[in-house]
Amino acid sequence: MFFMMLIKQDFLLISRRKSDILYPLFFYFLVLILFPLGISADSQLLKEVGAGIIWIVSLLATLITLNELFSRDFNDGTLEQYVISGYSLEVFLTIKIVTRWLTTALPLVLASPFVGAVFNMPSNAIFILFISLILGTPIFYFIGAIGSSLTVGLKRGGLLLPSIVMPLYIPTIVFGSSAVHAAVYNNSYNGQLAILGAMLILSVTIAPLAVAASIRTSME
Amino acid sequence: MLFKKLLSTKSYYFFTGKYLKFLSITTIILFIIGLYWSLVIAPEDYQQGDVYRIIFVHVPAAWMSMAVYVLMAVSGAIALIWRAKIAEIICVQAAPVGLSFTVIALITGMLWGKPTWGTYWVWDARLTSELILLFLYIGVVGLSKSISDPRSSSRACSILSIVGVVNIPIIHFSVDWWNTLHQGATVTKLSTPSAHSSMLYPLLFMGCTFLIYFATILVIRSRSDILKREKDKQWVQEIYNEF
Repeated sequence: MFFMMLIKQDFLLISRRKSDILYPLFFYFLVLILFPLGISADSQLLKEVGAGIIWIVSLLATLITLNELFSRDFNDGTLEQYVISGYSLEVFLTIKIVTRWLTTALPLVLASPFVGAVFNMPSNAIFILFISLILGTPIFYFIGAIGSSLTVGLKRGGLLLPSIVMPLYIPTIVFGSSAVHAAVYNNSYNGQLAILGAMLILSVTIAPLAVAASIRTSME
Repeated sequence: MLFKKLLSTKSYYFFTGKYLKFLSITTIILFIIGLYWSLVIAPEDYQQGDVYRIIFVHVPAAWMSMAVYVLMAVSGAIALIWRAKIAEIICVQAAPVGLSFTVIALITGMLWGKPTWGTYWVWDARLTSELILLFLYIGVVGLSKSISDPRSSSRACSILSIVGVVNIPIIHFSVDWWNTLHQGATVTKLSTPSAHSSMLYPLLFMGCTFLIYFATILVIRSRSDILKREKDKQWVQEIYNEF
């Protein structure tokens, strides 16, 4: 019951700040537009590199929202109240991460079929792009939450955060984009999707522990 | 007994103080022997000539770069579980040393790659993993520098290095897999024959030398960090007053 209230409250808070949802989406589209303009609009080339580009831009779009993940709650003291409330901090933080994923990353994932079409992908590859992003973007948030909680309350945490979390994102990028790339060329992609799923389970189970530990550390 | 003795900062400081001179002199002697052995006595390679001698620095540095990260994660776990101050200090102070080992391994690797492979850099699985390790180190060092409170800084570094050590096998596996998929036959590495003992022994000797060198540097760094952290304690004041 308590946690249902938390979820409701979180959604309400985010819905009051629509810019948090819209700006990552604008960012996502703008950066994606830059690639054909900056490299080449050759349809064959876009088909070849599209998978990697869409994955990397999704990563960047989630990265710019990570800094805000806990900082508001940290600054106004909400986080401190949860630490001393006696409820499970891990569950609370997981709810935070999941609602953030639902409100900022899910729109990007839903927009990805259109982007895939713009990048000349065949329809089965667009479907795999969608599936792989559904599996992969939560990993970005769960791992990113570790970096976000480690840098919460720091003056220049925003600059430090990408260099902490980006190396940890590499496996997700490798398997995610290669699943889509394989689908574009009609190769088998089940293995990559299975590994993405495994990494998702691993990050969901382990990351909240690390996030809670570092939040507690930052309170001391 | 010894373990307990090393856990408190004061007894660690005085215990290591007794052996620091011995450690430093051993390091210097080992380096002189090791470098003479590997650069002068060890035979020339019949394919690569004298160029191959860079492995006597390159390979130990690469070994150490990986070992130091594991050490950081282990001491980080000890720091988080038992709240041992020494483990916190070791975790933070090992990070810049490990970073420098990684940089040395990468630079010597590139210098070696140019004459033997014809290029400074190939997107080979090992090279890429080492490069990613460099960024993991930069993350830990950056984090430790940007949190001003020493205790919470080392706690944060412990968490990050444990997360990193969980991720390293996954990263290595993914890069390995990515490499076989994309690169395949383009990298024609010389098939490495199992090294002859006349080259292998100096290499192992240099590995041990690097290990002792690392221990020495770590002891020096952790001792000065102890002095900085415990500057309000009485025994540290007494040391200050002696000077």
